[in-house]
Amino acid sequence: MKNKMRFLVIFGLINLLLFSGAAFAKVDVKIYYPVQVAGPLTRVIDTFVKEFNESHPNIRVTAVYAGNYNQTMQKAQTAFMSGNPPDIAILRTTSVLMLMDMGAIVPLDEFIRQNGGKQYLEDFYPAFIDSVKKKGKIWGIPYQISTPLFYYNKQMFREAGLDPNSPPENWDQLVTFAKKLTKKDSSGNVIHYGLGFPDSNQWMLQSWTLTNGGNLASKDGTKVYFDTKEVAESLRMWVKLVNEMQVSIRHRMYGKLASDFIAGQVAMMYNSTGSLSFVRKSATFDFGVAFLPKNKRYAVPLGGAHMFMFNKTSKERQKASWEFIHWMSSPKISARWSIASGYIATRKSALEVAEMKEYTTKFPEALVALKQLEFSYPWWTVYEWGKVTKALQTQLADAVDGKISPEEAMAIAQKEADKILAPYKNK
Amino acid sequence: MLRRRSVKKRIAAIYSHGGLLLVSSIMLVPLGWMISTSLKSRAEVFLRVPKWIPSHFVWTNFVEAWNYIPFGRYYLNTIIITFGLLFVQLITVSLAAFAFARLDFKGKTVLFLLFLMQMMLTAQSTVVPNYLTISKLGLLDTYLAVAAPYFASALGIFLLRQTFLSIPKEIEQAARLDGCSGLRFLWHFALPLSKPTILAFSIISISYHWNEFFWPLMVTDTHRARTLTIGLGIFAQSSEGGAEWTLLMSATLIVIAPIIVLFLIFQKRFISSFMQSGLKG
Repeated sequence: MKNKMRFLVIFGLINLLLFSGAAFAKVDVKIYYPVQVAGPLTRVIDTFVKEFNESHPNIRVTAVYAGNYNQTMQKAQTAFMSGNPPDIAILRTTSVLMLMDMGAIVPLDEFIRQNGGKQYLEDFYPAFIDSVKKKGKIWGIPYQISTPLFYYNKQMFREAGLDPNSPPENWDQLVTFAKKLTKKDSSGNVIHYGLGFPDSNQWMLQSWTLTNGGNLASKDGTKVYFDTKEVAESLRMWVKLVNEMQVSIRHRMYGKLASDFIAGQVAMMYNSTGSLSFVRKSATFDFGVAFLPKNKRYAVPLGGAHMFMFNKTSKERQKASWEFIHWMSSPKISARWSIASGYIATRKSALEVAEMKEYTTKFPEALVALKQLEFSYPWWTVYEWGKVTKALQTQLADAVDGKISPEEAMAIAQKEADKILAPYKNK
Repeated sequence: MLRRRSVKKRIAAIYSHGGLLLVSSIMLVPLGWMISTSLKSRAEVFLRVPKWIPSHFVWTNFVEAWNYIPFGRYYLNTIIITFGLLFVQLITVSLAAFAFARLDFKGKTVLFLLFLMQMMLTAQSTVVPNYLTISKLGLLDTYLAVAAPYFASALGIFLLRQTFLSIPKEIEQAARLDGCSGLRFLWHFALPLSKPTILAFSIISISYHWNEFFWPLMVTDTHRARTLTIGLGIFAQSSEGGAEWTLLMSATLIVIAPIIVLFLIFQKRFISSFMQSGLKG
């Protein structure tokens, strides 16, 4: 009897060892991520990954820096097409339709249902979830969000006789202020501009159009609204400010514009919340931030990226990937990432996290950006977003340079976009 | 008479040196700005009246930049990839160029034209097929992944073939009489006579692959095989916010320092080899 017992115990132990080996086998999860703003962000991500791996011994996450948004998209697409997809990729929100079309990503509704459900979803600002809700399913989890923000140089306001605590609230005031803040020399050359904004950029056009009561595209991504009154009026304002009155600096992109602002070359600028850290660290003057000036309503488009889970991996890897996605979108990590990167925290409850409270007390500008989220709309997206954007931005540049009228420019852009989107009409 | 000639010479010298000084100062200004910015504090980068000498030298910029990414590892990788690749290229290129220059075989012209067409392919158009190949071979995230597509260089073959063709037939005949032909001729005669071309090609290859960004980014995932340019990309890709200029400049200086030093050392030979490679005999 004793021998039998001994045998059973040893047999049992061996089985336990063998099968626990299987249970302890780590699931590998690979995530591609972009770095689109300045900062030692790869280090921050590495810290997050390390913490996750330590607290989840059966999962091993490897984070791969993949360039900027465009390069990360190219890397993810190439990898997927070669049968070697990453498990997760952090990609521009507007990539969602393209990824869906390629069959590259999976919907996350089932995972969300098992892990927090409605309560989890409601803790995100609604426009963040709406951005990736297509065909009734949710295709991504918000990771980093930025919005346009209005920055202004309080010192230059004082010098021009303006109240440094009253930034322009609407388009009329914007024009008046811009004129007052522009300094020209005796021969009419501009010494410094009153205003600056990326005048050939789609995100900027959506911003102005939204505050004018319109939008750039339909929710399902099959139609664009370039040839509408709201867009034409916005573009007309651009032409007025940049070309006619010459109070707004011409053809500057976001990064360069931030440097111009620091150098006192522009007194007010439309830029991303992503520039906030840079401006705060480098400005030698006191500055303020405000909502984008409205024409019909306060509004901002969202920018940034979501976490997408890729298709054609194993059920096991997807389960592990979801754990990581869920962990990365927790209020604490959301808060830490926001503080480190300058992106807006995606969870409402991130505001309650101690570090976040401290941060917003020290930097009340961050609160302005958060308050503006009440008026946020999803970033416009269509199939073949890249091509459509290119067509649009070419026309914007020409219109701002006075080569063609705003209405003509938008008519051309509409026609080209319609051609590109024709095959997707029945999606 | 003598006086007039020396005065003329002096005036010519002043003109040529003046011109050279002008052009070189234009080229040196960005470098000067880079060094200046790398030592500034953030607030001093964009003053309305630009400052060339920082009010206090922020040496910690270099330390901070060095800590963002594993420069040491990336340096090692870049050196191994760039010089390893060059080594393989020189072998394949000299063998192929010699074949095209000195041997006769069926389909030689067609094959050469095919090689030339390779030069017209842009990097972007070959990314997906190359990635697929590397992936199927299981080579992703290795040195080979970054270097393998470039093992055969059409440019190198073309250049070296030209040089080989310009070696007088008499030398080859004389060598053959002494019993030296084929590969031995290549090694003892053809290559030593083509040193300038080889040097020129080497410098082209090294600077191209040292600076390459997109392809290494595509095929590598981890520090194992990543290069300096990818590391630098982290500083430079800030299109939404403003870039960290001081750190970007420090990091760039760290990366380009070796190339500048190498160029200064080989400068004379580089320029004279360019001059010489056009001449025959």
